[in-house]
Amino acid sequence: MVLLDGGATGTLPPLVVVVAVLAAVGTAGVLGVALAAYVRRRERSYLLVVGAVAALLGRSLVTVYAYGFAGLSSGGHHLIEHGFDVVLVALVIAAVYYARSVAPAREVEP
Amino acid sequence: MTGVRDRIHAHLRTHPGVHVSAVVRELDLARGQVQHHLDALVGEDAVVVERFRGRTHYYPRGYDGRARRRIAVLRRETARDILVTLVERGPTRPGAVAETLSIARSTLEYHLEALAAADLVAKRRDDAGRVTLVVTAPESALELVAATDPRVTDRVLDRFTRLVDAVLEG
Repeated sequence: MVLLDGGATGTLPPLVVVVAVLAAVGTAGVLGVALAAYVRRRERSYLLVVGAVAALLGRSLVTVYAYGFAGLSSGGHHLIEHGFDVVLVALVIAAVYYARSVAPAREVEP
Repeated sequence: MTGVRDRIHAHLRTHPGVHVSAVVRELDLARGQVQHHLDALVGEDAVVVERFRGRTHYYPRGYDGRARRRIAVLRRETARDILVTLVERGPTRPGAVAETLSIARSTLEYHLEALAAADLVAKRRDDAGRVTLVVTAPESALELVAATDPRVTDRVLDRFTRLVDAVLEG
């Protein structure tokens, strides 16, 4: 079925491209908010959150590129997508780590 | 031409501290046009520009630096919540404020810094060095809260930072 398997001759974009484009548009919005939050707070954790959201956006863009423009082999784009997952998780873990290591130095007391 | 400029000037008087984009939206004018008239009003000394924490605010003449800073701070939902909580509860320990509002300590500390810089909230220390938060002038603080209105973008940004702080500090 063209809609689901992404047949190259179909006139409609495969469903996966539509979903990936929706995800990319939404993630781009979140990336904008994350960037604004970093500009406001100037903390390393916020920069890492920006990186994590950017990795999520990268993942959607690779899917759009792979299915929409058939630029990558099936195995190749899966590897890149899961590579982005690794980067995303690493950035979130780092953001949590730095949030914890910064917090005790702050002045608020119990 | 001058009619538009008067409208912009009148809008600033009722909405001191607005950003260009808010004037564009509220008065349904072109951005370049608004910027042109604002520049002219600044040139005439009728309007004052102030950059506060990376954002440009426009005020009618007569707002001194402290008043302008106060309005800029109170465009942030969480800063408003903190101020109102302190007015309602009187002098309060920081931990109790964070708990009441369900916000992370880093969120509280960030906004306290801005509220203290605007001279709205002060930190008092007792002999043991424990901090209590006090509102410097409760009545005028509430008037300021009522006079300012956070924009949608201010709210989105504020809630995002609140969420990130809460998730990261768990």
